Amino acid sequence: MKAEQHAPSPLSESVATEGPEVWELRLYVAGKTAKSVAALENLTRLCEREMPGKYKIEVVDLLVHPQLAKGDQILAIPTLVRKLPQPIRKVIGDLSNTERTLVGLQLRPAEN
Amino acid sequence: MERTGRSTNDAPLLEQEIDELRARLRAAEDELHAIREGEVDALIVRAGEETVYTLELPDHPFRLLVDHLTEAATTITSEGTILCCNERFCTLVRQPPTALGGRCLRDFLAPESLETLETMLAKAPHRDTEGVLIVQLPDAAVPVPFCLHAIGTSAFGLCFMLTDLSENKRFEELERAQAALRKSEEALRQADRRKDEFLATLAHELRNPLAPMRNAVEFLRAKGTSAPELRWAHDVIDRQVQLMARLLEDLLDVSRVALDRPHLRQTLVELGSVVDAAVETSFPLMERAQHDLTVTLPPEPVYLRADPVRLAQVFANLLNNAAKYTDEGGRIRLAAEKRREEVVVTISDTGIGIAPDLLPHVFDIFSQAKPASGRAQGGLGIGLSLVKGLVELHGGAVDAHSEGPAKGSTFRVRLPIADGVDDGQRGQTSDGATAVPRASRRVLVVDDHRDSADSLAMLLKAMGHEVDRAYDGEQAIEMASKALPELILLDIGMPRMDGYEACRRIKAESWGEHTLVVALTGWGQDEDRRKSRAAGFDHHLVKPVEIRDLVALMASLDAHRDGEGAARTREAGRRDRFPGDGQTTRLERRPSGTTPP
Repeated sequence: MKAEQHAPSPLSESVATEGPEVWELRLYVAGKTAKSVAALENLTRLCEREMPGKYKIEVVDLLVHPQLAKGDQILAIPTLVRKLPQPIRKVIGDLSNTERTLVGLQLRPAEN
Repeated sequence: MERTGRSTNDAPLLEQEIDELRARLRAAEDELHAIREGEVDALIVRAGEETVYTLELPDHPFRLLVDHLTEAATTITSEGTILCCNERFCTLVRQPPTALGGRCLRDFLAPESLETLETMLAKAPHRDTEGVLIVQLPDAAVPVPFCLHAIGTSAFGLCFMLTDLSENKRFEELERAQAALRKSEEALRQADRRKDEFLATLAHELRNPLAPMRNAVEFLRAKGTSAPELRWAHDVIDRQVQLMARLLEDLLDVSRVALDRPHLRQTLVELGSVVDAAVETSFPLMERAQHDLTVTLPPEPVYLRADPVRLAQVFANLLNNAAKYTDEGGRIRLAAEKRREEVVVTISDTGIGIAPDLLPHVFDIFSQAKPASGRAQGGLGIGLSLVKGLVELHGGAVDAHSEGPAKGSTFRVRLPIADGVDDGQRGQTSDGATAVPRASRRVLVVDDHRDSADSLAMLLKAMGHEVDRAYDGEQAIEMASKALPELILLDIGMPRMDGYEACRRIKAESWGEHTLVVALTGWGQDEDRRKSRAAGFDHHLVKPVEIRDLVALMASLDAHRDGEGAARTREAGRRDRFPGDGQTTRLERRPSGTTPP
């Protein structure tokens, strides 16, 4: 579980690690609840800005596949899971707070 | 042990592990925080299997409820902007749901309601309000009662319920219209019935004055006159009275059929005798118009289960109709043909025909071709309607055909043939007994209608009989006990004592036991006849009495006297054809056509 430090991305001022080839993100939603929809919108916008062309978003609808909640131990919806780069990271909520989302995804260090 | 087992070389690894744990802790805290802050709108609950609970799921039934309310409901901001609404609201303002979010409620209100809305919005945050708003639609302004609920503390939420009464109103209007329709239909039916009853009563009432007229005419004839003018005048009156009697009879019959009170006296009758009677009836009309009438009957007798009088009326009406609507010197043909179970009687003429558009209505009551000039023969336009009613009462059918105006008309009557009849059972309707009055009789005429009694008495006197008169039942008994008449002509409806009672009493007396008592009445229905029979009457005559009925009656008196009783004597009805009056011999049965002189 080694978190390698990389140079900042040229398009971002963040101190994120030098990202992997592709960020694999998985967003758990439940149908089209308001927050599910908002989360997907916010995430797409954020990814476009922070890592254009280097991300993959997989949307999992738990209304359709509830059994998939088990794998990532999902408690509430919407939940975003960073599958790659490892380690796995989760961010809960509609991702409207960009700062918190970036920290959660470890694209930005937490202020502590 | 494990712990102590770690070397200091493990320090970076440990640090890494701690970082990882911190991250996880943060994630867990975040998760809790997110849930507590309501940043999620669905939870996964694991009870055996994962189940997803979204906030929308429990919301769904309420959503459905609201959507299916009969009230229109919408939530608006304090500025009047529509946040959401139910289906009924969309229907009310005639907009798709997608077009409503964000619109202002003002857009859908009539100008006069805008102020109401402002007032309402001003006070609504604090308390509930009720009132009426007028919703403006492109083609209508619909007043809608509403109530407005403030949603708790939230300053912008107002729940707005509108009761659209227009659906209710439409339904009520429909119901009202339906009720009105039912009512007017019932009224029409009643009016129609009253009309029929009125016609029946009218016809009956008109018979009363007709009776003395008829008697007076017969009296004049009996007296005889050599003056040609007087004879002409007499003939005119005679003909017209007869015509009037026939019209009344038709009127009475048709109203009877209309009132659904069929009075058929069905017996086994032979078609030929019925046709004879019909031809005889319409003969004067044929003769006057110089029509050439041909009658063709099947060579063997055809028996029907029918009321001979009524059936004769059917054919007479059709023949009269043909005669009326055919120019002078036309050809009229009556042909009967046996077809297995039924007999088809066709009456065709070379007359004015029937226009195709009128054809379906010829059997409707009061529908009558406008008489061409010079062809006005009178009539109420009920003849064919009566024909149809009577034929149907006999289980038959009648239809009309015409190639069009001036192409002549054909009426076809189909009647079921009576089954299992051999010649031995032939009706006695055409027996040839000749009735001739033999001697002077003692007769008592009883009628509270003095003119009727007097004129009939006068007529009988002219025929050479001894006649007494009485004007009520009691008087009749008293008079009869003294004069011991052989024949009593007794009116039924009378004051003091009616005919039934008088008859019963007379028949109860030793002197009256063998007296021939004849009911004389305006009513000739089966029921009336049955009642008069029950009272002991020997015969039942319907006013106005035909002279030949009287002649026949006198003849039957001989039979009565001879002990054969009334049974062999045919009941003398107005329409009964009495043999031997010269006309029945005019037509004989022939396989081929025969033309009356």
